Amino acid sequence: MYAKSFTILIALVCSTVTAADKINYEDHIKEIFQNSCSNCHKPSKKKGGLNLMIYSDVLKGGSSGKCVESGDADSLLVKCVTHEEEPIMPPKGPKLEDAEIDLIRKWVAGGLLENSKSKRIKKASNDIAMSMPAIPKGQVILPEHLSIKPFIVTKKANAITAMAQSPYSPLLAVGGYKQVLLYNTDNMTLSGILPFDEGQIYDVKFSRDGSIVMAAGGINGKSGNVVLWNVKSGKRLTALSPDFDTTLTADLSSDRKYLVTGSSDKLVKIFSLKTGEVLHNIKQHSEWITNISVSPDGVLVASGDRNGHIYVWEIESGQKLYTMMQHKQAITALTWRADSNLLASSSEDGEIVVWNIYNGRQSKRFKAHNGGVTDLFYSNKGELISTGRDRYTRIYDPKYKQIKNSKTSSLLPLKVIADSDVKNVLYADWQGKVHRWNLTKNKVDGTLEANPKNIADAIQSFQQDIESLNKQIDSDKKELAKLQNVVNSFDSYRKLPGKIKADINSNQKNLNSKQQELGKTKEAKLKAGISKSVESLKRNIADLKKKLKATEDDIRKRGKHISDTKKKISSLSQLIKAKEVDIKSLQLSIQRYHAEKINATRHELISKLETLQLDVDSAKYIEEDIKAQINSNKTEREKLIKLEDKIETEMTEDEALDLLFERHNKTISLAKRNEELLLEMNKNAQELPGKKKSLEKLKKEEKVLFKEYLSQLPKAMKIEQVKK
Amino acid sequence: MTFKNIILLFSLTLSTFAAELNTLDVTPREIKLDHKNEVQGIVIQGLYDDGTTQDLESQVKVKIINPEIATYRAGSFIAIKDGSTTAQVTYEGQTVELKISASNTDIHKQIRFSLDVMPIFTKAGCNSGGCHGASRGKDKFRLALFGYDPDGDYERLTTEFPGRRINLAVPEDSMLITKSLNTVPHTGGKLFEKDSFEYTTIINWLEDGAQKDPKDIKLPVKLEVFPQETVLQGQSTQKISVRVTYSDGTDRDVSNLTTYVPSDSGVVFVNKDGRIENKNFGEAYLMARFGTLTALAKVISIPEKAETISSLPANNYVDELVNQKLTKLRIKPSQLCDDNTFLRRVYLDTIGRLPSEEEYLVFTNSKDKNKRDLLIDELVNKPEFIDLWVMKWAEILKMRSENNFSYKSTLLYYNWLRKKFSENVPIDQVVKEMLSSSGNTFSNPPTNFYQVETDTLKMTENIAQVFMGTRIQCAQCHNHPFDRWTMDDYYSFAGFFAQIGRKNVHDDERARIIYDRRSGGVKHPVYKKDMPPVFLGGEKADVKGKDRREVFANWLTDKNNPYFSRSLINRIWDQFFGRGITHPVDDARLSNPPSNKELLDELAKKLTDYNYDFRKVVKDICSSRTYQLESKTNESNKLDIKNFSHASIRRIRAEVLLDSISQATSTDDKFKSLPKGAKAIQIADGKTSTYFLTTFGRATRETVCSCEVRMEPNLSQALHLLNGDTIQNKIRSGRFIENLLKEKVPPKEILQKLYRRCYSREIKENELNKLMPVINESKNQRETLEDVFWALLNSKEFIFVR
Repeated sequence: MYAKSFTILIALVCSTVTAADKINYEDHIKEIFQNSCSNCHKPSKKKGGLNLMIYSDVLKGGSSGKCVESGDADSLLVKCVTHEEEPIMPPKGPKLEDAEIDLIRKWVAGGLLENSKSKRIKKASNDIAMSMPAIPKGQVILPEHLSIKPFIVTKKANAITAMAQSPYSPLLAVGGYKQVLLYNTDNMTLSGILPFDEGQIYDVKFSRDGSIVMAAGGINGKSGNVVLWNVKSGKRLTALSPDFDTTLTADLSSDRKYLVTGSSDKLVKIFSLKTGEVLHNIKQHSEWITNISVSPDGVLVASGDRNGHIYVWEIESGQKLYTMMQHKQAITALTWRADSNLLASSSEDGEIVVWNIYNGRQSKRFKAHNGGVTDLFYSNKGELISTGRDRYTRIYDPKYKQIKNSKTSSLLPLKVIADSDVKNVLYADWQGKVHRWNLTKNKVDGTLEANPKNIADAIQSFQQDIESLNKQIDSDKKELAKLQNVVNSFDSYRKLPGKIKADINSNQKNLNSKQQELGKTKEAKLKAGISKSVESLKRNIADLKKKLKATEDDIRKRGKHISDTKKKISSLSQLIKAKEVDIKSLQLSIQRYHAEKINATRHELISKLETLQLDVDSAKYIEEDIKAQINSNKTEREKLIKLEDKIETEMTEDEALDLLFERHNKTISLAKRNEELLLEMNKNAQELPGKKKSLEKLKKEEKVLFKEYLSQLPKAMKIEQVKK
Repeated sequence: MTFKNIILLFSLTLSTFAAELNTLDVTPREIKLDHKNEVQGIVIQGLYDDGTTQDLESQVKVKIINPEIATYRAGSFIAIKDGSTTAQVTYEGQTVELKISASNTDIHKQIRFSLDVMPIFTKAGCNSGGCHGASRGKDKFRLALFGYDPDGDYERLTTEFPGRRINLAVPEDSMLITKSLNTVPHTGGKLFEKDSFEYTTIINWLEDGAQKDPKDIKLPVKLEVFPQETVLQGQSTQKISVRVTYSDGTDRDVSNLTTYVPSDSGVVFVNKDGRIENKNFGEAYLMARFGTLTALAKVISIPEKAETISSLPANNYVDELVNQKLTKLRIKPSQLCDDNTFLRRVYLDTIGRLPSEEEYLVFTNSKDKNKRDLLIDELVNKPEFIDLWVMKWAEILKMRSENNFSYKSTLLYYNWLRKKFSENVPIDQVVKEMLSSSGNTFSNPPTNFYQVETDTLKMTENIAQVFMGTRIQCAQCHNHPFDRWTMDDYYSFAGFFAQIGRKNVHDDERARIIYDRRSGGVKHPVYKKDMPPVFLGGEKADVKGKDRREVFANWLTDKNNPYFSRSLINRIWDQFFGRGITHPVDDARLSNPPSNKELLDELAKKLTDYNYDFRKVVKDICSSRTYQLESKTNESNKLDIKNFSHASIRRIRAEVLLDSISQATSTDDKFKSLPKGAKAIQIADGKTSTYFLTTFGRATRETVCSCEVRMEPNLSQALHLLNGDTIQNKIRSGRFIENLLKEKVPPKEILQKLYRRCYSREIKENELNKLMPVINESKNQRETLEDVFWALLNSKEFIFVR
């Protein structure tokens, strides 16, 4: 009996000590379990009823009971991993390293701590529906002054596996490496970068009103996460970790109440965004889930898998509505028409199928791309846009007739969307580039990168671009001058016939007068002389007439060439003008990026600010916590002191003395502990005003930086928020 | 101690001194280095006069004449600068010169997918049949088995699931890497360490953009293993090195990318330092596999204290070659068997029955020195010899009546073959006739060969297995994992048999007309087009305007064909020793070499020299000392089963056993469609059988596999002999004892007769002493004697050949 209270005591004592390297579940033990145990003891499998990936489940134990007892280094779990008892764990793999077993032992003996400090901060509410002001549908929502400094810069870009378009704004979200890139598709510039430390991004979606952006992904084979951000402020709203492999796909409902995820564990998971809990864990798919799409009205969700099977579920109840089996190979995209009546699916088997949601039957099925359709998208006009492994991008009208067809320059296009006005189609490829296909001009007129450079390198590359453009303009101008010379010389040449004609006229006049003279003259000698002049004049006129004809012919011949040259001149001038426009926009970009340097610093400040704010806000809770601990220690101590007076007479003298001694030591250490806690509480109280001061200082600094940034930003690039 | 003894002692001690070095061998002799820092390893082996070898790498001196070209470190040459030079390896007065040439030493080798990355998959086991090389791969990630499809593997790795399996932005995050290092859970475990050369190779390829190989990339064409032969005495190791040569003439040391598969891992294996290490004693082969190429190295492991064998007695060339092997392995053969053992053994092996009492007495009493050889001559000319051998051929030719193969056809087929054998037609002509036959299956029985199996691919496999002794089945779907056959080899070979036409005969639905269609082909499943016929393991065939089967038959039976005669010899040898020189007899492959190649080659040559008269080969084998060894083993050969150093105790096969029991009990058997008194070895149809025959493993002839004849003893057999009706009834109905008693033959004589009939020997003194009292005391002498008879027939001495 005393032994039991003794161990509880030890556990209490241990759990209240906050040494820097206390072994706990979150920091030390979870990783060991993940590497060696999670194949069987994860939530979707739960071998023996035991899940080792969630702390509360570890404590709960499995179907044969508890596997760990706090303080008991001989707990079942420990014995199994040391192979002292059956079943030996892991049953098939190599025994855990000695260091790992040691950690587990220490953790169990140390009282099964959950994390490095006891939970002191009450979790802020997850209800994003509450934290967002209501925004009317159809409004343009763009990020406000987010930093565009990349969190990670890689030498090359990976294949783009996630891309989405905001329904009413010219905003594109691209999944880069561990960061979501937000691009403005009107002027093809970066609007913001959101960090996704959790790993690679496999799916990116906007909420139906465009106010929230979501990214799903994780570390392949290890963990899966979904994160939601506020588009305007870039603030992280919530994060979920539903999986032990990358989360392959996810979508949120339009009323922002639900989040549905799918991954390699083949389960459709429906989460409540209010509480973060799993509402439904649906086991139906026989292969990895590749696509999840919520209907625009938020009532239904469609899920597709690697076997080509599609199911439609009611989100709220988790009930299955339809089973749609048609595709023979993996599903690559699911997209709803805006009125939620049609669902279109595409697959690696090269086909597109359109399903009628009223009865769950096929409305249309047709072959779209040889080798496989990689993505499909319903534009705001109700037209389907697809791209596939045959490198083409195609647009179909509502009767499924192909109205546009373009061969992409990409080796393998993977994603395709149309922007909100359906003026451009954007497609992303395996080499990490997004191309904009301008539908009016019917040509590709812009490219975006999935691995943006950091600000200094970007500025440098703009400058290099300007340099090379200037060089080009120089040589273009030289060429232009040459051509102009040709035209000019031709212009003067063109005056020649006029001169000749004048010449002829004057000669003719001479001739006429000479002929008159001849008529008047009677003297033979004079007559002969005048006749000679008449003859030579006549010859002159003939020659001149010949020359005139030749010149006019020549001019006619060269006329076409000259008009061509004139055309060349005009187009070259246009080109030069366009390049000059480019240079101007590059200069604007440089100016903007210089301003963005300041913005990046400002955002770093903002995150420091937020951490400090959190600290200050939680100071109250910490104090309450410490007070509670002091009180409980005090009561324990008083209880022990009372006990000291009562010793069982069944014990021997030695045993009794030992027990007395132990209790005495306990009371001393409890008293010591309370002293320490008191000191800590006082220290916190002392530090608080200082922290509050620094907080104010930081806030002021941030305001200053913001002003400076706004002033440096070129007017043309100032983002207009609300378009009425 | 006398002077003589001292000399003797001295010479004895001398002979136990360490062996003398015969040759210093360094391989390879020509070293070509063709890019920056290329490394090529060498193997330095000393061959000693007692046949053993030693790894001398740590003891030799290596000098490079021009050290600016290359340097030598830890057993390998490393390129420094363009140019050529020689290197001298010296040890104990012997020198070996190596040629070294270096070029392109300023250019780094570019890492290519099929040349550098794929061999890592094979070496690490990623694309083996139990992992991603399985037909469905693992979790839908599939690699071609042992890498026969580099282009497909490239697509599957890079574009099948974009962004996941490889990550071009951060190569270390590729699942290809994280799974191999087991930093994320991987059922396949950890395959290599971070910063190992496998890791760096793959990372470099990814950092370079995971580029696809150029269309004309060089292909590996030849694989060499050094050293080719190793003889390790006691516990020791030997460095092994493997070199691949490419289609453009360049080569590369791929020792660390090769998988080594020992034919007997209890004898030898390659340890984690990449050295050959021996365990138990014997002989084994190491098959080195790199990519889709394989090569073989032979290793013999002999005990530390194995004494050298001095000259062994030999009757003929068979013995000489067997002795050569035994000498190398330090195995002493057993003694010669006695006359009784020889008599019984040779009768059962050649003509499938026991010697009668009269035959036994004639042989035993003969004083002729050559009586054994004379007996062999007599036996091979008996008609029963033909019966036994026709039965063996009938098994591998699948003579069995089926739904689409009538009994009449079976009988006609069988009788045709029997006639050929009895006319002593050489076996190559028989096979040639059979393979190129056309016509009505009733009037031209050899055409039945094309009726027993109608599926082209199966027929191809059967022909390879029966006539060439090799199993190519695996290559139907992928390159053979343990042999040299590729899918191309398989489908090109099948082309020979793709133009066989079969027509119905309208007045008899059981018969068929077999003819050459002169059109048709076999489609390769990957290229989707017909493959022109190529001789298996040979060149392209000229089949224009010819019957392809004839072209094949001519090639097969040509004197220089390496497969046909060897396959025949194996089957013949197996009949007399219970084990082929290549074992199993129809499974010759790179990783299963013959246990005595020289013996097999010589016998095959003799067979062709004899114009395929296999009786002569049988005579050579039976008159060899090797065949006539006793089964009792000595210390050095008690574990040997592969090298014929002693006779093995074999169970008599089903038909012969039944015939022997009938012979011993003087009874007749009645088999379906045969007259009473016909022997079991004369049954033509594989379908015809009895309970006895099936229990004792008679071949059903449903496949051509040599494994159909089951020789393993099992419980049913023992129970049937003990409790079943065969022996009991036969003893009763044969009335042998009854008749002898009627003739007032004394019991002692009856016992003697029984022993001679059953065991081909005289009854021993102690046996007589034990039995006579029982018989004398018995109330019913006939019954007791019949009990003795029963006991004799149930004994191991009867059922097994000693």
